[in-house]
Amino acid sequence: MNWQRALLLTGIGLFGLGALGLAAPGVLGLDLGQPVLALVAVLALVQAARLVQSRRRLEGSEAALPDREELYAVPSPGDRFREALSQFRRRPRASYRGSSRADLAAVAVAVLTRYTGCSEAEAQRRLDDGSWTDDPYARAFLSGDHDLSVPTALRLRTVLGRESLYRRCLRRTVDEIARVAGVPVGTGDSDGEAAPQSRTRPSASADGLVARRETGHWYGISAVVLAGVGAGVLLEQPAVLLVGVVGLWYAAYARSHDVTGAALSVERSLSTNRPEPGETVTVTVTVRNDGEELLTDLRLVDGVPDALAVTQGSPRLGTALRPGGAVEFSYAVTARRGVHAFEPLVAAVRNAPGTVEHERVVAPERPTELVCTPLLEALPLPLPLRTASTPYAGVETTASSGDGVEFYSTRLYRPGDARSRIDWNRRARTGELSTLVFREERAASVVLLVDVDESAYVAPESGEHAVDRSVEAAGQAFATLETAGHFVGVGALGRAECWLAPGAGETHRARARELLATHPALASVPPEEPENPLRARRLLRSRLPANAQVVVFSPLGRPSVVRTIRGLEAAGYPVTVVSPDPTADGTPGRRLARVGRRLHVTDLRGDGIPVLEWAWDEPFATAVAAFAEQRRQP
Amino acid sequence: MIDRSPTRLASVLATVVALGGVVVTGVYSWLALALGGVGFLVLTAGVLVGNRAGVTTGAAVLFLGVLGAGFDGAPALVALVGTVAAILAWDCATTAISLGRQLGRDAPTGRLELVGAATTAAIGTGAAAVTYGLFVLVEGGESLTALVFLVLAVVLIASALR
Repeated sequence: MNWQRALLLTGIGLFGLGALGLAAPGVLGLDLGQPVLALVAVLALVQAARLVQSRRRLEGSEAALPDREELYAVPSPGDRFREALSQFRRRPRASYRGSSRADLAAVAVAVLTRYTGCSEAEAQRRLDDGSWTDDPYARAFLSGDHDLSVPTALRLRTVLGRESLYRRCLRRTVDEIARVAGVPVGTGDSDGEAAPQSRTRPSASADGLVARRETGHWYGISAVVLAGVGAGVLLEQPAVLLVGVVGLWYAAYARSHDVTGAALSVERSLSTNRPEPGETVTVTVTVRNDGEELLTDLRLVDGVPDALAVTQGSPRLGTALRPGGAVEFSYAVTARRGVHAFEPLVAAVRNAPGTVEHERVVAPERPTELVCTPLLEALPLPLPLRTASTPYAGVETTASSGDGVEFYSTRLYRPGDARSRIDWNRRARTGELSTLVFREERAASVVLLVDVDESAYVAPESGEHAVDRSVEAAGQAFATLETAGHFVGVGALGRAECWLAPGAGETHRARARELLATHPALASVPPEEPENPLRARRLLRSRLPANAQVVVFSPLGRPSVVRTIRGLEAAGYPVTVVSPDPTADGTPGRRLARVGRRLHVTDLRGDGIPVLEWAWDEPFATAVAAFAEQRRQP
Repeated sequence: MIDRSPTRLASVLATVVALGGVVVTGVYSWLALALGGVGFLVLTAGVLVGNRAGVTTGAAVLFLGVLGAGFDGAPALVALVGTVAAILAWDCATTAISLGRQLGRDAPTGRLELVGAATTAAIGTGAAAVTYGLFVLVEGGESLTALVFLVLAVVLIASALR
């Protein structure tokens, strides 16, 4: 700034004059006395106070470096209460105050009609007169009145607690609904809501500069100078005066050179590019200072992919680098299914006094990618399918007679029947000619569909989510069915671009393995661009072979998914649903999501669609065994 | 979760340097010892919880302690050492906080912290040495007018640099 420069030049000029006056007394020709000196000292103190004030208001800025070692944050179903509630709504409606009560009443009616066997009118009547529950809060909350008519004793009791009356009623009502629906309710209540994580990438200019910031680090150091000099003169203590002069050096130092860090380069290497799932991969990063600048303050964060967790070491480093110098650091990540592209490294470079910070992104010349394709392992037991068939020979038994090896029935001999099929024992015994008929065996054409709706990227705790589980199960189902001689295809429910038509053979197996592991639609991190659900549904219908049966892998998080599944069944494709259960406990919203999922399962089963429920903490094979047991004894 | 508290090395350096400054000036003056003690406690608390305002306040009180020592007639060299200590402690503490926020406590940052502290210490030592040299050189001169000029020059330059 101009006036700053003017001040500085005047100051330096005066300094020169003062030095001259010291060297040769009398040269200046003025005779300024003690009062003038005191005035200058007071001026210095006032200026110091002003500077302290403006320092207090100052907000220096510095780069917010990303949390790359954290996994992409996965919410639990029902973390947002409103959203959990809205999925029960028949048709969307403008939200207004109190709508939670109306919505909850609708949920209660749905639950009562499903699980206590009463009609809708009966359920409504029981809500109105409160006979559906013993809980006084829940009864008051859903009874027909517009005002919340809670008995005074209960009102008084809530005054003492931390919860508001409304919240308590809401929580108790959800708990009661969950109880009627037969959903287990834990005792603990947590307000644990996962903070939404920003996944936006910093936008950088061509040379990688994201921003140049003034940190304001030494701002206000001149207050030391002014206070020291002012106090020194007033107290007539040379030592105090000197103290102030030291501050001046720091003030000048804070104005010293700027560094840009433009010449940083980075190389990244992995201990292996194609690890097994769960394998530990060591990432080694080398950062080089190719420029002429001495970088005394260099803060680095490597671009670990969203879906990989750092298990050892740190992808961060704070260091100093001389020109031409290099620094190496390493950390370990645990491999997980999918294609994981590393992001560029983020560097915050500061000059020596730390007053200026350049934030830039530095990408290695060759992008780093980690690909993990798990083997498809067959289940130790067959996966129960619906009875249906394709015209190809296979092992799936059908309810019609034809070519096969298993005895089905006998019938009267017709001229033209093969001689080897005649039941000669019977002919010998009774003299009648009859023909043996065998059970026809055909291969089923099965399409495995993984639900990749936004509502499927959920998990009870951070880590693997329902899509991961679904893909894992789909892989096992694929291997099992393929080994059993079926034609198996793979697709994504809700994403058209992911599709592998039913087939068999070595190449087909390899293709399925590749698709399940690496297709972006099945990735551990949800794709950013949305898909048009109508287009996806239409394409799926046109691709499904007429005689195929479908296995859908879905946590059943949304009514729209359930509608799609019912649509498939109605269109004549026998559907089986495999449903990993990602619901958690702890908040009313989560319990409500659990009730919602239970309703979906009940409704699907009511339509004759078998649902394989897969608890979060049990292996898929166990769930399949239990399911097979259930189906054997209906 | 990433531990965002201030980094260890710079925090320890800050408290050690601050304590050193208090001891050096406190020997000469009760006022310096009292103010310095309070400043040390505030600064340590600030660096423990990662509060920049606390650290700055603590360092300011440390500096007031040094002024107090000068008022009680401590030698110029002691006052200079105390000032450099207060500034260095403040620099280390704020670096620890900013490093903790940007990189976290578990990241290896020792080299950066050492280089930063060494640079600030070197600047301070140089500044103190040159200032003290000048002081010794001109101690005999008895021109009040020249002193007015010099002080005014320092005030103007300091205001320009902020």
